[in-house]
Amino acid sequence: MEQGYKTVRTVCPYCGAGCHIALTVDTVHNRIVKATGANGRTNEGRLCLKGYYGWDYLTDPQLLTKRLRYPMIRKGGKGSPLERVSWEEAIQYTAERLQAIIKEYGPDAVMGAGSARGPGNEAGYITQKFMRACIGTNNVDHCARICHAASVTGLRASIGEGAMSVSVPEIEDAEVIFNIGYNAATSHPIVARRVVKAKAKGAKIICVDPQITETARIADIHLQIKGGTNLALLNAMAYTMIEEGLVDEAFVKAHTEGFEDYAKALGGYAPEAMASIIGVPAEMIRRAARLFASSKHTVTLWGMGITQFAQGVDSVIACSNLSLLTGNYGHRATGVGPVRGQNNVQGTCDMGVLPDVYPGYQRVDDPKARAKFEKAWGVTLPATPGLPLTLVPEKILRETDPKKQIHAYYIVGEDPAQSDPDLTEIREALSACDFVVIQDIFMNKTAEFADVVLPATAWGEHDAVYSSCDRGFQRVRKAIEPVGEAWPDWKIQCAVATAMGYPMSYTSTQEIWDEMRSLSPKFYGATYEKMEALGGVQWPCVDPSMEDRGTEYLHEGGTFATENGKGRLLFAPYKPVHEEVDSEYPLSLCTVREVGHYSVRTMTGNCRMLSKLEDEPGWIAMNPADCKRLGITTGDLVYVHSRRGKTITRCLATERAKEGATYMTYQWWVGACNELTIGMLDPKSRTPEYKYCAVRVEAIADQAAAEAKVSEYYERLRTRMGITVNDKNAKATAKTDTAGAANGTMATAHAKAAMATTQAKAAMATAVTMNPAKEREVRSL
Amino acid sequence: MNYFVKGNPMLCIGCRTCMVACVVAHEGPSIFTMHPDDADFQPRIKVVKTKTMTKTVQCHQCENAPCAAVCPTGALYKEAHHIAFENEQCIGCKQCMMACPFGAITMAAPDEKGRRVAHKCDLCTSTAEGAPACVSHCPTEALTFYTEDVQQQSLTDKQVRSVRAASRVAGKEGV
Amino acid sequence: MNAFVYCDTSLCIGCGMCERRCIMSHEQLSIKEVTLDEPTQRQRCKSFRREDVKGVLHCRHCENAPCMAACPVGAIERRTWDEDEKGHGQSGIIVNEDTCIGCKECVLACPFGAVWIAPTKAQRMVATKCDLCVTTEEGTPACVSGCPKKALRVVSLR
Repeated sequence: MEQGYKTVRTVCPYCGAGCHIALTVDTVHNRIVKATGANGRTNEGRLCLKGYYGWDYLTDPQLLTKRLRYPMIRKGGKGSPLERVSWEEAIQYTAERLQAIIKEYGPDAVMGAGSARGPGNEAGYITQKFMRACIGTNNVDHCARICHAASVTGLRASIGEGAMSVSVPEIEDAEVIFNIGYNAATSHPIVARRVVKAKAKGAKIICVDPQITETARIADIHLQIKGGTNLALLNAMAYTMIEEGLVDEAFVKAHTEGFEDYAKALGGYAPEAMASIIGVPAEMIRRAARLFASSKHTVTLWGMGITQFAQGVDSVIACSNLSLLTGNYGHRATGVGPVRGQNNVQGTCDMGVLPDVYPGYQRVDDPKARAKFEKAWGVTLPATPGLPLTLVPEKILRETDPKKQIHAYYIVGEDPAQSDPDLTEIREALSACDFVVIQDIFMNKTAEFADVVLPATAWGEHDAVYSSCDRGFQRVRKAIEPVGEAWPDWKIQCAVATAMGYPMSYTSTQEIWDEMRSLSPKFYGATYEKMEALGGVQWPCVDPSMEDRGTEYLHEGGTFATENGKGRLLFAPYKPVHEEVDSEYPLSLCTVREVGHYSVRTMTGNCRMLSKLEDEPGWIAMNPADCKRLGITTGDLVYVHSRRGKTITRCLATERAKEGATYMTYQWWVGACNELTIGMLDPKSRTPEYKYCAVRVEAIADQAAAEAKVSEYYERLRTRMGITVNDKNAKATAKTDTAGAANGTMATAHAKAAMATTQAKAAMATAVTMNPAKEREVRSL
Repeated sequence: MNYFVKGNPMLCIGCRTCMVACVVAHEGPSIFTMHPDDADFQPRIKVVKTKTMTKTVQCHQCENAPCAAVCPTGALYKEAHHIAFENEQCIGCKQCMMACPFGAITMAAPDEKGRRVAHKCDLCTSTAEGAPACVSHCPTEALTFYTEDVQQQSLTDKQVRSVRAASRVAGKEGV
Repeated sequence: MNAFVYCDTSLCIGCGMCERRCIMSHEQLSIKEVTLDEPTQRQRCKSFRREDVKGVLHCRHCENAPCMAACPVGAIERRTWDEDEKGHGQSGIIVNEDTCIGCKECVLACPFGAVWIAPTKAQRMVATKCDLCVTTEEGTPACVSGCPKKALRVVSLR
């Protein structure tokens, strides 16, 4: 290694795959220069483009927004400019405002949101301790609410434990993969690697998705269902298993309860009765059920495609039912995988940044658990579960009793003004909230509503522990010194607590981790030293000695985490989606991911290479027939309208979308699809129905004017974020490469079209070169 | 025999890490310190998606390369196990781009002198690492660098497997 | 249906005579002039003599040939020759070596490894595979008549 350089081993800050990264750091210039894959349990030395090229936001290139370098207060009140202040002043002011609100309205008037991303587990522990012990409320939550909350709630009801029962490496040893509402290729490339490896090893894949995703196109059975019919399909598959005698009766008898009632309740769900609702042939449903039941190594993977619906919890339970019916739990390479999206959303759940549980999933309304935490923290703790964050707008805008309203919102490392559904409503709520504190690394749309802005350290600038999607605690290490006056998240909230009269102080993240461990039996054995020695530890890990190396898969032998150890077969009837299409809004909209960017894009939007690959205003993927009807083609700017609002984006014509269905990613700031989405919540998990609402696409006649408008809006946005825009770095919103148009700039449309055809033809032709002749039919050109 | 890079559509997930790796390998580490607008983004490999197919398109380093055959100045020629490109010789006539049946050649954006030349995979011979970056960076190992050894091994494996399969039905009734 | 040469591996002794006869027939050489070391002497089948198996690998002249589908310039096509009074001819999958650009797509496409790149006498590297001896003077597979163990036969509708 060159003089002045060092290697830092850490974990990626993007998705939940938990890939190990080796960063090359130039210590002289305090800069990361390179990222390469390191040999972690889940990634085995591989990374995706975000892992390789997603670190240069740390250099603050100001592509989309700007690093927060010092604390700020909106001294003139709402709507006035933010003014730079010292940490002392910011902490003092925050403490005083919070104390005043608590005095007038009570502690439950304050809502806290923790971060599932960069800050890490220790910061999450501090967030919930701050809200519970200092503020005195259980009103603490995080973005799992809008994501996998249904998985946690559903699996807890079904088998007593909400986490992935199977681990990422085991996926490649599955014999059958049941992939429903999950797109590994865009959300977890390293998990997708396991899926394609499984296929290469001979596994069969059943893919349930309204789109032709990467998984769907290599699947043995692709159930291209109508959006929102998950529960109808899952119930029909269960019906088939029971009717055709495919149930593992010994397993059901020994390890489950409720079979009789469950089987009876499924009476109306024969595939033949459900086929027209679901939109796939009955025989295909039966084939899928038979294939699922044919193996004791069937791994089920799901994601937002089943959880972000009003029947999310019920659909999760229905998935678990299939594994219970067929004995697909409790041994290696089987079970369920709600693949947690973000790098630390599993961790933020583990740390109890949730309204109803403490760290380690101990319930706040369990007197024994509460007594333990009261003793450890030296305070009386609130006994009733708090508010899920998706109810905050209601509690600000529509709650009539002032004592039940939310008057303060302290948000750490999250951007609800970008990621919540129905953005008009969240903007109203943030504007109307008396006191909003934003603790973050970048200026963002939510911070525009902040009364106080506190600059935190980013991934790369602090130590932490992240929990991978499959329960793996892994160490994240500081590589460079923080920017400006940024403090670690935990240090900020400790300072506010201390200023409020509840002293909190720690000298290191390890100290915080050890305190958390001592209070969480499931995690007690996961010491910093053990994580260092083994590369990571999957919980449960109860014994700190090296004998206990953690737990690969859960529910060994079919003993579940319920009180009596049995899984529960629970039935729920199918209900259609809340907002179906109609003549006014004739297309359905579903939110999806883009592999080269991450979530709200404050980080990746400021990474040079990732931004060059894909940039604003993003795309709306639509079937070519729908495009033709509207007279639009790939690249055209279009307006998209829903009953909630309107946005502008580019058309992407693709046969991978069914007629009548459209898809947008939620990370674009200019082409923000959450202007359109609906805040309809699953009553059990409080997760919004992002995956189905009704929209209308409007063609724009004057494309040149629209392009100018988009560019201008992008520039205004960057200015709002604090970037000084001059001629040199004005953003072009030129069409990027996705749609198969020619690389580089070519003069004529004809040549462009010819190139696209040639490349597509080449792709089709050369596709045969890798497929065994006996399996694939050869396509003629 | 020329070496070449090839993608396997059964392993490709369309993530485009290869495209970014190509750019970074050719531009070098300064791409992360220069002003973002000064950096060019011109991958020499491209991910293409049709309704049911996702795979990469890149130069095949053909043995009787049509691009080299059609080039009037000899800017494209066989050397060091691939079809090499001499930037200085290129007059930007675009005939190579039209001749390539794969669409693997494009015209690069103008350089500092305003010249636009042909642009294609060079097996990373011009990069610091010297070996195809797309191959080493692909998260699903969907890309293979077919050196002559790898080509020969792949061929022999298929042949032996086929003969073994045939021997399982040899001498049987009705065959 | 395309014809193809079939090897009964239970009879094959792995002597490689088929490869030599192929070269003799295509290159117009006597047995003494044949050497398996000269790349431009291109055999179109591959003989194996291993402990566990002896057999020769020939192109199967597939009905839906992957090599033909993979070729970007249409250099591989189905050809019919030797039609009789009823119009029935012999057919096979044949490489047009002048059109071939040597891109190796067919080499990768073939699941049997039956086509590979080899140099013509003019040192042009082209896709090389069994052509049922259609380009030779004899016009019928030389390997078949040359096999000492009669392990090879032509399978065709005729």
